[in-house]
Amino acid sequence: MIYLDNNASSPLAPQVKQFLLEHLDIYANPSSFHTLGKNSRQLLDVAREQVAYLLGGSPREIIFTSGGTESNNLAILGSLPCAPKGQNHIITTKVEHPSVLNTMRYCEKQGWDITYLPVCKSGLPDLDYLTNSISSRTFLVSVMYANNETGVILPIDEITRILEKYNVIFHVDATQMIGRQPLSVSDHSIDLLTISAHKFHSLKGAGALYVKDGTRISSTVQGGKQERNLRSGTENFHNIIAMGQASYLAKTSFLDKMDKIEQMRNHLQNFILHNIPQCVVNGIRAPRIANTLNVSFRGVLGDVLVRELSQHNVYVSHGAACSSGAREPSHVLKAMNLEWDFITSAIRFSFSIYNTQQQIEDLKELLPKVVDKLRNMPE
Amino acid sequence: MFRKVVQTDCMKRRVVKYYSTTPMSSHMIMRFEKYAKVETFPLLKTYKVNVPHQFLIQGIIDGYQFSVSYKNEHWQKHEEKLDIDLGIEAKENLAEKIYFDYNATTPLDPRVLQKIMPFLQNLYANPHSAHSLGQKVNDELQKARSKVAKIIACSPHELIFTSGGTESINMALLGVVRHEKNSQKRNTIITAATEHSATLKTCAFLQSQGFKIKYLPLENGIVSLSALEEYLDEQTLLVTLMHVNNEVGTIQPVEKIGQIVRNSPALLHIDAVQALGKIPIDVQKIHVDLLSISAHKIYGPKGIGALYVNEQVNISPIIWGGSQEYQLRAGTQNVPGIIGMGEACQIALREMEKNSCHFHTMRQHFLQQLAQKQITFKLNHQLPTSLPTTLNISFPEIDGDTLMMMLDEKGVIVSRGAACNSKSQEPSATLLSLGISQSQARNSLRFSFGKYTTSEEINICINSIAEIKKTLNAKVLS
Repeated sequence: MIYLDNNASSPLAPQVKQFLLEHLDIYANPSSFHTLGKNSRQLLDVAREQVAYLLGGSPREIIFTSGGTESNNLAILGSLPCAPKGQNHIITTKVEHPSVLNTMRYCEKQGWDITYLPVCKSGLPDLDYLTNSISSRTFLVSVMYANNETGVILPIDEITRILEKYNVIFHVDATQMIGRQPLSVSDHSIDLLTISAHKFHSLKGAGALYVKDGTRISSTVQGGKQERNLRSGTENFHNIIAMGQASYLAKTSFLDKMDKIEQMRNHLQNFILHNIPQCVVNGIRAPRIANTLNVSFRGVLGDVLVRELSQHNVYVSHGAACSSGAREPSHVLKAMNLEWDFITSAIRFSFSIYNTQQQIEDLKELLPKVVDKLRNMPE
Repeated sequence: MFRKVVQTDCMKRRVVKYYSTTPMSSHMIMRFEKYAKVETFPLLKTYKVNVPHQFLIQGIIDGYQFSVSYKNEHWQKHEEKLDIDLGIEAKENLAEKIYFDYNATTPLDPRVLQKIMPFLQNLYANPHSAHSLGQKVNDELQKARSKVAKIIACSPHELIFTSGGTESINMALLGVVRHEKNSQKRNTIITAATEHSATLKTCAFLQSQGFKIKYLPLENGIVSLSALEEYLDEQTLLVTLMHVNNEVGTIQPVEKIGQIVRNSPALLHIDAVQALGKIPIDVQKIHVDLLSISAHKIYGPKGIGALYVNEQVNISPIIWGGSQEYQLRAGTQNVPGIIGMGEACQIALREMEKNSCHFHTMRQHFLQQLAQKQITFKLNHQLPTSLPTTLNISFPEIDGDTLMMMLDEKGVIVSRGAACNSKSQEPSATLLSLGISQSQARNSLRFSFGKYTTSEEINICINSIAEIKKTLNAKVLS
């Protein structure tokens, strides 16, 4: 089996799994006042420190959520009620994850003025457009750090510099960055930052929102006042402590292996460009996270190719997992102004530290044959 | 001699490596291996112990006292004396605790864990992925959905998985409100003061948004049905009540409530978190529109719950994004959680009768033992109308907090009320709204039983209470 869909979800790291299994007998509610509850609370706080260590913030700035989508929702919907009068403008990009775009659409219905930054062919956002559209009316800027479909890394530094002069809340969706590129919230003036555990070898159902000290934000889920009253509900204890371990690993060991992944990615990329005609690597001219490769194979339908490859135990994806059920053409590639043929024929390979060179060699054998077969299939 | 190496300052308390510069005895290694991975470097004659975090470090040094030297972030040498007994119980001791807080949360059933295991190994794909691995995970997810559906007798497609009871309740209330176009006119929500904080806080939030919240009067903990009939009018958008109370276990007559609400344009939401798996729930019989449940109260994992949404009812999502969960709850599904919830529901349904008998026996035994030891107590609820899993008892002249902590020292875990509010020293708001006096509420404890509770555990608990009472009385006399 060759699993190259790590941007959709990634396998559990063995160390995380072992840690999880060792702690499954701890079950008390971390909010309980008794010894068992306090014990759970302490483990939860350790996880909070580990996540803070990963992101470069302090533990009290970490709010645990049920995942990236909830974190993005909390960042946007939670900060909006705190907007001063007259600040009713939000800036985001056209290539965001649906959890940001669909939340923005909801906000639009509530009367918010939203600017969707266009991106260039490279996948990078048009920063002049940002400079021109930002004003004293702007309350929130929400951009992703690395794109989930193309892996393109957005110039957070430059965006920060543009935002400097304005009193805006800066939210960054770093879901795809963790464990793939070093990052620190203190290097940029990031107010809110989203992470999701299952993208860096931990479990689904846990994520976090970094909330910089002093950032005004209100809760979107009301109840028992857990997580500094920003996110009520009994904590997803095991998934969170697993995320803590994975955070530590992401910072200390996953990143070291990124060079190897980049080599594998580039190896496959060069092979495809040299051996399969009519292919385009999307986002190749922009800086990308090392594990992502988005290729359009002209004349092939992306979802057909995905299914054909999965017959051979190779798992890739056609666009983001969230929208792949809907069979809609990728909004990211559309925003990059790709030709229709290239949009519908795009495939994403996303690597992890558990992929091997041998798998890439096997894929090199298989891929040209499969593409050739599909291209020559009668309509 | 041990050397602790700390790589950066913020790792100081978490990720520490201990290097033993002298060979460790096999006994020492065994002690270490209980908690951490020991790597030996025979050539260097050193042992490296990777300790993932503070909790484990404290486990390691339990029973020993030694000095370590390490370099801090500025590479200055530090001497540190590590003391034993740092306040956290060593892990093995936790298993010996006697747990009477099953209403707060429950341990994972081993059968549930077994079902989850493959999803911690090979079945990690995103269920929304189009490839066969994703589809396989999705198939399993749908099977789990059917299992959950069965326990509340609904169709699988009427279930929306959420991150837990609190989110389900929020989604029910906010989802109905946000979907209502005519919320200027239909702006009343009927609830009761004894609801879970997720309901009460959301209602308070809606009140700040201009909604009217009406609280039903209670008779012995049961909502007044005549008042409900009286309160329901054209302006009522939603009635939200809990099936079983989390603090006192009172069962509301949900079917009668359903009958009444059915004859009005209002929707009905039932918070069945504490009822699930303990008494039969049938959404058809209740005529309920929305119903919240949670897995970790029935020996399933934390971080997973569901909202039943009747197929005739439309609500708005509260979390936006991908098209998961019938476009009502975005975000990659918590697959291991959902699988665990499915299994937990299946087991709970199958063993409901057996467990119910067990709970009755346990409650009976508990009350008998109290009487036998001649401990005076007062019940905060009526036994016939409450679930046998919960006993909320006040002990005159013993402060609840003190008793709880002294029991804890003896290894008996109880709570004062809902876990969410347990940090406040205030008497339980639920008890006060049931008409219980301040002082009685202050002296109250909640004992909640589970399927793993035994009569021996109850005997130990009652003996402990008797001992504590004696100690306290002796103090008063002296």
